[in-house]
Amino acid sequence: MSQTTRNGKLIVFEGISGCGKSSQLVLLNKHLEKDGFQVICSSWNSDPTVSEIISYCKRSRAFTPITWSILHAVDFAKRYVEIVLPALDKGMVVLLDRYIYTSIARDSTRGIAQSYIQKLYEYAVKPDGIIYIRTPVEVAFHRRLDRYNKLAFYSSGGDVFGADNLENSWKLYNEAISARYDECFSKACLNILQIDGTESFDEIAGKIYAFAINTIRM
Amino acid sequence: MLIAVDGIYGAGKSTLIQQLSNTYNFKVVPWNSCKEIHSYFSTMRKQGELDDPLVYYMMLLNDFAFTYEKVVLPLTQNGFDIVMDRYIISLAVRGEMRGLPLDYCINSFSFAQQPDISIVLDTSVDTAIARRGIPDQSVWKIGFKACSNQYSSYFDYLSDMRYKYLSYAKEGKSVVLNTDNMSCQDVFCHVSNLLK
Repeated sequence: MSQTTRNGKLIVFEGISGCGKSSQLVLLNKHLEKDGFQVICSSWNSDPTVSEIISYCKRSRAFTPITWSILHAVDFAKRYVEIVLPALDKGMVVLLDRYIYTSIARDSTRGIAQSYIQKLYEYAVKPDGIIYIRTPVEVAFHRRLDRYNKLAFYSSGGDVFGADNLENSWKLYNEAISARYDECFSKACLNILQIDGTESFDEIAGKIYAFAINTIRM
Repeated sequence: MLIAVDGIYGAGKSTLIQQLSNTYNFKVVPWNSCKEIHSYFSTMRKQGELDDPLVYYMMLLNDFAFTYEKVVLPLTQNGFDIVMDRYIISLAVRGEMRGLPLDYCINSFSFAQQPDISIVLDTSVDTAIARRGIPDQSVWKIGFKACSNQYSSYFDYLSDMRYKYLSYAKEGKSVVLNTDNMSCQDVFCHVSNLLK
């Protein structure tokens, strides 16, 4: 991964589904804008055209581990080129809901070699700051179920751990992802804020805001 | 058995592949055989969403990956012999043509099995253009030189592509056949001997 040499700052949020990333990102965006920073946000799997293809493949259950990995890498590449790099060049603060660590964790859980995934994303700059919200799988599971009231096949890891009992698969899948996140973020060369996702929303928000301000001023 | 046939436009790939299919009953697999996925590729290209080299290559890789997983693997697993109309060499060349590092491209398709026989059909650029003419606007646009002379731009584009095909073939274990002075039947006989 290359070092960021751009004018802006890249801060990424990572953590398993239901850990609270997205809500915290929205709040941080509001705070930073209020402070006068120019901020742009982008979420995983949000390029309009590519997310349409991903939805089609999910509906038709057309994914295999490698096509899953590559199609999500297409979404990332497109947003990286069209949104992230131009914003960093303009000196903006870029907040991303998930970054390459999501692919490393999810795709390797599907059996793709980490070396393959790391090479696929080698063009991506190293983030200035990583916010990793570490939430126990059981807690995240209930949050997710409260919010969506259903479990989807791929996001439950049904393709990896079986579709007979999606609740069980979801927990196994996210335990595996969580372990891979821990491995990724044990590297000392990254500027990481690791937060316990069971703390109160306001406590977490306070820590994230302080970390983001420090990172931006670094 | 998986046979890969690669080479620049107009090198004679389609003719050879048709002969192989007719004679040996090989299944022919074009590299964009996963039609639903390829239709998105075409739409994105028309809408200018693939103008960036990295995004273009990633979508090309995506097209290839779906074809490989959904068409190639099931056929080989069921014991069919197949001939690929373009395979990983074409992917590497197209990536390199857009400035992507070769090692990046090679890693990206490393999930695909190496072909049992890899054939690169070569021809001079003059001959290729004489055989096929200058392709339509969409292909013309991928010429890397923006100038008013369509022939010159396309010539340079094909020359570079040809050089990259030959370099890659030399590095790997591909059989290179120059078809400039060979009839279609000569090419076919040569490949038939390889198969024996």
